[in-house]
Amino acid sequence: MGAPGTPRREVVTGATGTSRQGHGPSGTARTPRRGHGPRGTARIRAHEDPAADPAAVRSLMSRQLRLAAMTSGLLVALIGPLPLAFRALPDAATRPGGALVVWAVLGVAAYPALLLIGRWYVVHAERNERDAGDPTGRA
Amino acid sequence: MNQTYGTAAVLAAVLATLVIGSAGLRISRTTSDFYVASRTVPPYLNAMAVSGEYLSAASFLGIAGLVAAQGVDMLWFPVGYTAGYLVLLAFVAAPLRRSGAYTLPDFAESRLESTAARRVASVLVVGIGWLYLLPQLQGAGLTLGLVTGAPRRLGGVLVAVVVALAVAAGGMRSITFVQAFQYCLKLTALLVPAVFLVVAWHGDPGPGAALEEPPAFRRHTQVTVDSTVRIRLHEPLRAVAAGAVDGKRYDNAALLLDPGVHEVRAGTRLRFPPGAAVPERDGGSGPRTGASSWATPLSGGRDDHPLYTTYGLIFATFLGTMGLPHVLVRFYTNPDGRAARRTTVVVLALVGGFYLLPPLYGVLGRIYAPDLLLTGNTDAAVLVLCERLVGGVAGDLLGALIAAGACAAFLSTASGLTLSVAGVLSQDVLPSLGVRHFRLATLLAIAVPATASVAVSGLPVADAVGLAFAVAASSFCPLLVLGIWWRGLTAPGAIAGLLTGGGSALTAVGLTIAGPPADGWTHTLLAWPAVWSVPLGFLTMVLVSVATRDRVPAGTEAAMARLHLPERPAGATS
Repeated sequence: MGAPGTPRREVVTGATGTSRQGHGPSGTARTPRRGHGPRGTARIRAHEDPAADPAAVRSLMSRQLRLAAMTSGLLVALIGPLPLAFRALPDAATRPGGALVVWAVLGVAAYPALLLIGRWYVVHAERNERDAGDPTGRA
Repeated sequence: MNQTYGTAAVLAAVLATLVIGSAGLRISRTTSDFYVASRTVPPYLNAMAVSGEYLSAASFLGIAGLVAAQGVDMLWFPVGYTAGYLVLLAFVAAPLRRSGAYTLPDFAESRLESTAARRVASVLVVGIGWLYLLPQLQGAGLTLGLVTGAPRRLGGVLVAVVVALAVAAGGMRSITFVQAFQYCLKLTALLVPAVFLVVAWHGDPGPGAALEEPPAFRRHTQVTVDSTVRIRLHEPLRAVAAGAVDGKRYDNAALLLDPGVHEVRAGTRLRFPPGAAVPERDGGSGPRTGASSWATPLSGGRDDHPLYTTYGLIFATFLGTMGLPHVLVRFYTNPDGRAARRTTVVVLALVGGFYLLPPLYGVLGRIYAPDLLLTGNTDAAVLVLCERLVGGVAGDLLGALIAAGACAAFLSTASGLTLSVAGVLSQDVLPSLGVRHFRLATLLAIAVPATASVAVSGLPVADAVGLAFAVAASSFCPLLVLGIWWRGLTAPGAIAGLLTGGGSALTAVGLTIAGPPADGWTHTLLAWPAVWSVPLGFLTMVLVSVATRDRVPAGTEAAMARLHLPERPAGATS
């Protein structure tokens, strides 16, 4: 949370005017806001008429999708060749140690790598959203 | 295993669950408290709850058992279970939270504006949930039987009762605390004994040798074979037998078996001299080698096409995690989309950290509990190691701690699953009666798999875990990814995709379990359906959606804005 300020409670409602009203105005969400009033009102205006600035939504979506694709691409590039690589390890009978390599890679190294990719994704996804806040603010 | 300590530990775990659950009861008052903890759970607590819920007995006991039986290649399972969260993070986490829906069927309905899509999703959630609950309850029976000496069926029923009480009492709010506590318990239960085990082991024999050489008995070992087993010998075997081997009776007589396949009758006691190689279990006709019951469909047929099956495993676990209903429902408890992302990253750390430990138990199990490889009960490796390696009162106490952790593993996953199934049942199946009616749904949600687990205790239901992963990956993964990122998705397309993808995965694994025995590629393709059933689900969804282009929901633009714009009220009420 970058500079969260006092969280404001807002009513979270269900889906857009569909039949499921049984749980109506149900949960509350804390929405951390970064201080400035104009930004908040702009966002709410965009929300009152969500199609008002579809171009902004589109550009944010395509940037986020690109980021998601890059993240999974990184994952595939990192993990994908491993089964092939492990098959290429020398036979245990001739040169032992292959099992330890597999353990080190799959059992230990894989997890920090996944964590780093995840962290990297979150930083960039939040940056994308911050950037997208500006065109919305124009509305 | 010391049964007094074991029973005390299991009771303590159960009691703690109930106490924390009832503490939640005092807090939760409204409907939204019940379902999503009023969406005020902070990321760290929520991440602990997600991890606590996710790390089932398959992780706590099964991975070590698999490594003990089949070596380090089995470490693809925990990597897949963890990497699934990365895929979920990248494609689903924040938009799903912003969708403002309570459950997967809610998401389907609000995104597609179709009650039919909602109904199909409901059926799939309940189906996947029950499939996943069944092995949890059966595994609970097995573990509790081993730890406390209780009859097998009692264990499953006990877990079902505790879960029903905890869930019905406090809903998600109490479950959040319960799950977070259970993550801590599970981590402690593997971490503390691991320190003692490593000290007792001090690298003799080295891990490399233990993994690469065929396992052997280190001292005089007596093994009682519970069920008839076929063993394959690569060199002559000397042992003392009491029972029947190859149809011949032995009465504590010396036994000399030539290389080849032999049959050891149930109830036979075999005594092996030190240094004797552990006989290899022969899979026989079925795909199940009996190495470990937890992941058999995922490991079945590995011998035929190991490379394909490894990629099949990667596919199913990477994409299946996203589609598991009990995992997804937790994302609605985050305050907002940003918190949902942060939660997921913390989950990556917590789950990954936990998975560092099971391989160690697997390697030690291979060295110090090789008899389990013969009886096929390798899932017990984690439970018996402390007693064997540390011994004495310390060993008993550590064993009891591990038993409590295993108990937490069953309880947490089972309660998470029960909660999400009950949520869907109470909203979509039973008439609306408010909170009391959620409790009714909870009973139904757990009673069905509990009854089934008692009724079919002889069947290899552990196959259902892999089935649940494959079905989730081929149905909900396409729905979520396309629903969040593609404007062209229509209700008919989504329904067709859910039915085709989920249905074909279900059929394939059903055929593997119950159908006629198949060999070679047919068998491998059916046992590992995710590689083809996930693309099939995606393709069907896209093609049918394109064909029914005119039925793109009118609110798609608004839905996309709601899903992707940050920090805003989730529902467009206008």
